[in-house]
Amino acid sequence: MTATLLDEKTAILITHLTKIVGPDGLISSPAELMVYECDGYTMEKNRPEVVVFPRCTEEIVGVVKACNELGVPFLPRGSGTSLAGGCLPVGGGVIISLARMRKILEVDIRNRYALVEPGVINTWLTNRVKNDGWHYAPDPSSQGACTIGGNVATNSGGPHTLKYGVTVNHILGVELVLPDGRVIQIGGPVEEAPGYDLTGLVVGSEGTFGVVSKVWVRLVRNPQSVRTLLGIFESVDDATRTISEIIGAGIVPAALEMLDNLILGAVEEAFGFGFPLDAGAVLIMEVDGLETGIDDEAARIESIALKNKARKVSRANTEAERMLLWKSRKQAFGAVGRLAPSYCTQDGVVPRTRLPEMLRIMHDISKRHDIRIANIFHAGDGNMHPILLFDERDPAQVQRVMEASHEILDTCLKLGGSVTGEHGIGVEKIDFMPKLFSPDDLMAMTRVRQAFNPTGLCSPGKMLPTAGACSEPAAARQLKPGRRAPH
Amino acid sequence: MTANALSEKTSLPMAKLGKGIDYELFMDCVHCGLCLGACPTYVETGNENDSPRGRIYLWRAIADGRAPLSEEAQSHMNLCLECMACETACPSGVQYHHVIHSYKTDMTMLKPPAPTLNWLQRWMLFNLTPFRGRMAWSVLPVKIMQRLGLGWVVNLTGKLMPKSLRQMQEILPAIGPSHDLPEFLPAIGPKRATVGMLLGCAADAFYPQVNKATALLLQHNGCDVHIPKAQDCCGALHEHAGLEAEAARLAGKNCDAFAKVPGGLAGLDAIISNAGGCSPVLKAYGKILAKDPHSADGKLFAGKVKDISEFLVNLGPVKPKYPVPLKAVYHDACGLAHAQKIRSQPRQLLAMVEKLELAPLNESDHCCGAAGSYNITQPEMSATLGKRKAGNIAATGAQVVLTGNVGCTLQIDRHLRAGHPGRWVGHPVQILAAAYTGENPFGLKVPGFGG
Amino acid sequence: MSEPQKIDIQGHVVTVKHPATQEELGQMVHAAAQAGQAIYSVGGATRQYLGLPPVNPGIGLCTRKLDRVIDYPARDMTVTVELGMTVAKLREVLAGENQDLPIDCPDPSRATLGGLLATNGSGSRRHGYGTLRDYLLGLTVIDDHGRPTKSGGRVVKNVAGYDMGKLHIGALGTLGPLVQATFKLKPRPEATALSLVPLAPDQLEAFANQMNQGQTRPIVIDLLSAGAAREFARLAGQTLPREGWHGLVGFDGAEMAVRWQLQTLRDELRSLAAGEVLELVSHAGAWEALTALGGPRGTTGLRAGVLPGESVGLARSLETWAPASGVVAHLGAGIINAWGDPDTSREPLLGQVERLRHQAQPKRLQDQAQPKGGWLVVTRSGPTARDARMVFGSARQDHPLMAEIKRQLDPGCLFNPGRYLTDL
Repeated sequence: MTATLLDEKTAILITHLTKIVGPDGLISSPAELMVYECDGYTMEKNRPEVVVFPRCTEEIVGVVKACNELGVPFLPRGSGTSLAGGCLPVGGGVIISLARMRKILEVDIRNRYALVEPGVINTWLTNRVKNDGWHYAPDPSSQGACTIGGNVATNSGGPHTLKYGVTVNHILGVELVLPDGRVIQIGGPVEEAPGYDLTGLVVGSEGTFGVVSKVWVRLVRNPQSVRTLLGIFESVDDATRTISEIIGAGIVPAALEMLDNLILGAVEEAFGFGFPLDAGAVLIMEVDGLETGIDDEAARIESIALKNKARKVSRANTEAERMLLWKSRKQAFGAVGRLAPSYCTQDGVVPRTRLPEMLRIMHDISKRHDIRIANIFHAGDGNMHPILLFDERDPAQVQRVMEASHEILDTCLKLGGSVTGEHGIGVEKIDFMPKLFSPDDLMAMTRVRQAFNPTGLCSPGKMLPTAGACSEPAAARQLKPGRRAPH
Repeated sequence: MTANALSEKTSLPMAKLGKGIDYELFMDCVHCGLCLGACPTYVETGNENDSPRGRIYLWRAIADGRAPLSEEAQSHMNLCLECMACETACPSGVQYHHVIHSYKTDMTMLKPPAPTLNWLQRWMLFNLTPFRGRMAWSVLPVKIMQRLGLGWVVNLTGKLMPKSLRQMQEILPAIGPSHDLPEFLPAIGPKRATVGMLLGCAADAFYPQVNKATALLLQHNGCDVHIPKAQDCCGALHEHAGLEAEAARLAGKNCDAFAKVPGGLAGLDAIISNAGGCSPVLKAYGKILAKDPHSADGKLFAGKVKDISEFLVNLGPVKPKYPVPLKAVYHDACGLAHAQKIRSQPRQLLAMVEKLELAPLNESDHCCGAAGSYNITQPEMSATLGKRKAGNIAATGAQVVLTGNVGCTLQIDRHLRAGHPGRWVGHPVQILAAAYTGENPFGLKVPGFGG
Repeated sequence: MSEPQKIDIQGHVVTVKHPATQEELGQMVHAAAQAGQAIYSVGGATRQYLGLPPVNPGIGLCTRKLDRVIDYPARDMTVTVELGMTVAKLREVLAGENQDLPIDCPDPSRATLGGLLATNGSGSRRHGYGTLRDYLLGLTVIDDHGRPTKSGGRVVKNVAGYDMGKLHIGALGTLGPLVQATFKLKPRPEATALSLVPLAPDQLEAFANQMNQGQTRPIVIDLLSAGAAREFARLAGQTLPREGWHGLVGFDGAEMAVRWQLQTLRDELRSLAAGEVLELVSHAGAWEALTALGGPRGTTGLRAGVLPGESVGLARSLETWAPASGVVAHLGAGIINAWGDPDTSREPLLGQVERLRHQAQPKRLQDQAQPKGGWLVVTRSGPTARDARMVFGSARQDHPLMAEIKRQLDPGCLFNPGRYLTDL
């Protein structure tokens, strides 16, 4: 579409939208739209024409219908914390920000669910029910900022999903504004209504099936007790063998997180936690459950770690000590900036038994491309976040980072894994879809999308390589990796 | 369209904007958005331009010449509370305060100073209004103006001041501080430290009892306390408004005042502040006075400044004797929680008080909307945040709200009285003083206490 | 293995083919599509009573020859298998590594994994372990051209592409035959225990509420009507000390933790139990009996879902609904199974079912025109002919969308036509 057409259309669009959400309910000046040109993935940018802030389902419907009338693409946005460009307005158009739909509409402890608007921030929900001894289980590291609606779109994970499952395991139903403006309820607080599990399908669809306007989530009882251990290892191999053996022993830890030597150095420099700088890796190992027997389980983990040549295993004896351990894990990313001016985070997955092999290959990739790679990851489920360190002012390094990144993801696929464990396909990994799936596989997915989104106006250019009316995959090439904060 | 028109209207020298800041500070922000949920203004408006990420992006774009300094852009920048909750949330260690300070400084250079003075006056009037009927309010503003060294303001822009007030300023002789503390108070029990004590200006005028309680706490914990009469306003309001010269003048004056105590600055183990809004600026005296003849004293002074709770926890507090059977909540003043990372210390001190139930407060470190002069410059947002805070407090059912900053006390008290009356708002030191002495805190009846 | 050449699907006899490979199955689908024949996937043919009768002539496809283990990296706690494999065979394979797919299946030696997926089978342990949607990592189905299409993958965490697997769980094969899947696995527990708690009729709600807030973390919280408790005892080879309603609470995990929970439960229920509590510790027969309770019983079967807090009320209604009834309510999920021999001479089954359906609505939603909450499905209807209204009730809001998905994936109406919701 040409610029003039777009301008005329935009003016009409703004008039239409203002009638629906009021003058305070949208922004359209270039300066104000600037921050919406990307999300947590900054390598590609495209400015929307308008950002609207609906306050209720009816306003979303109005906006969606107006976009349909004018043939303007639209996409929903929560807090814009996607690391894969899930909120990138590829075809321009209207961003439907759900940040003003933040009410927790219902909390029903007896029936173990809550009904929330999509803009509710993840931690707010747990804060609301924690005094009753309950919580909302999926805990992405961005949980202080990301929204439940965004979690639904990307099927978010987090450290504790090893035991408790990812977002889809905790969503009972949604109210969905379909791309044509119809509103339907899918699922709900009562489980397993007859019919296809559309809830399971909508979770993780990255906004391509419509705009989620309400979410029924499952609430989970807090564990009676928690034990958190820190294992210090001479080598990454020893640490990954420990992980394998813990899982193999039939223990399902609440979390298993690994930090390698490079990350440790940065964390130590930043926070001075007292990690030994010569350690090859550390493991944060957490078990939870009933008080009875939990110390036995912790002891079993400890002995497995020691058997695999852990130098030392210490146990957090108080809640304060436990928080300190988790702080080292969660703030580690912030410290990476100390290692290099720029970094790029990947989100590969391999079967957890292939972790040692993967790490060896990664070491080789790092050497070959002369790019330092720090590793911190959800070791328990094989989900790695290798962080590639570089200086974005050096084009040669940038090129090498791109090559190394792709080689890492290709290796994940070769080892039977995936290119994304929790960040999503978005626009970042759309080129990998044909490597993961056959044309027939992708055709089946395209057919399903057709059922929801036949015109392709809703979130064009996402998830599927052939997606959408305004798809410009060639224009959305990766040019350079940015500095990235991983989860 | 509109943006271009606006930039023409304001005709600002765009090329120089944002140049006072090290560009690497912009680069530290990786646009991850983890600050969003911590930012009180974003949580209210849902507009990312009202978030730290958005403001950094906006100011960077303006500095790059990619975006105009439109009225919209300014309104988003001005809506910032400077509560620094974003710095607490940021995993990448972005120093947001430098970014927003760069904006504020550039704006004071671009704009005539008159409006700045106006809001200082309005701040006073605004914060005094609730005290009508409770106190001799006609006397108070004058006292504060004198303490702030702003008597001249009245003459400059008299239009804004009520006539009676202007007259009062002219008629009244210089009034001393409201408290009746001597310049020296001895330690009770074995002596463990020698400290200086800062009184603050607003706090001293509105809540002299907080200063009394602070001194008492220090005495009960074995401190000799010096309270020089020559001390002045800390300069925080001036610093935040970009009035750097005036801030430096006040800082120098305070250095001189404390240098004159017996033993001089070097003889003091600490200089104690009980106002969370003041101490971050007091701790920055080294920087504020860097180019001043006082620079050496400034550094020494800054190094000794401690919040009362920070100091007592480090010293090892003496356990108080009397139980205080009340249900209380603690609100984290931004100046303490975010600017100084002082969170656990006040709670640790309160935990020593027998029978005091400290209930968890949802969003305890979410700004209450006081934020220095914010309630004047952004009255609507300030009121929204005040109501939100009051609602969270009311939901706990606590009778008492404790917070370590006078601005928060005024703001929370105002909004509780409006929506959820019948609660007492005070400083943790008041409860602790009650626990040491067995005397009722001012204005509060504790069962089992006399007086 | 006997290979039936014909099979009766709700009174319609179809010829059954037995492809030996996924490719052969694909070719059969392709050929049927060319010939305009419908395809009825029958798995192990253990639950053909579900859904509706076929509407178009066609062939049956039995997948039981497709039963290879494709990949079993035990240390990864995942397994990839062909879906003609019986549930029992998978259990046997997994037992070698002390692992399990903890989904209850009443007829494991005949039921196939594909059938289990297509019918979304679940039982008492769903409270502690969830359902198949929590275990399916990747799935291959044959599309309407006879081509295999896969989604998901073989790793436990993966968000690439749409989660098509979810769509096929419980779809009664209407979106294509399921041929291969990767499942997430669980370690087998060290110890197990079941506690059968006799309850007075006025103590049922109190029991349900207590189980929602007690100290223990059971994997089973069931409520059994007198008939169901009797049946459970018979299958487990036990004698019930007392007739009437029973709570049935299951634990597993480390032995010490199981013992502690049994003791704690006894203490917590002291004032509730109407008689002696029967504890069955590490009693394999008891678990088998509990799983078998999910199989077909009586002339007519019903399955309902309500808010967990309302399940006791509906369980009571279901108990009195028909003679020789049995009711098993999974209190944590609000899923209730019931059977009985209703007298349809006085009131047709449809009338009886609609009355119960009304009661399945959450109380505050009963007056609304569009049912949003509870549901009730007639799993088996004895001699009564089955139609969509009777079996599933009125269409829900999301049915048009389901119909559109069906149209997209199966435009020629090839797969199990007529067998699911009529609007599909």
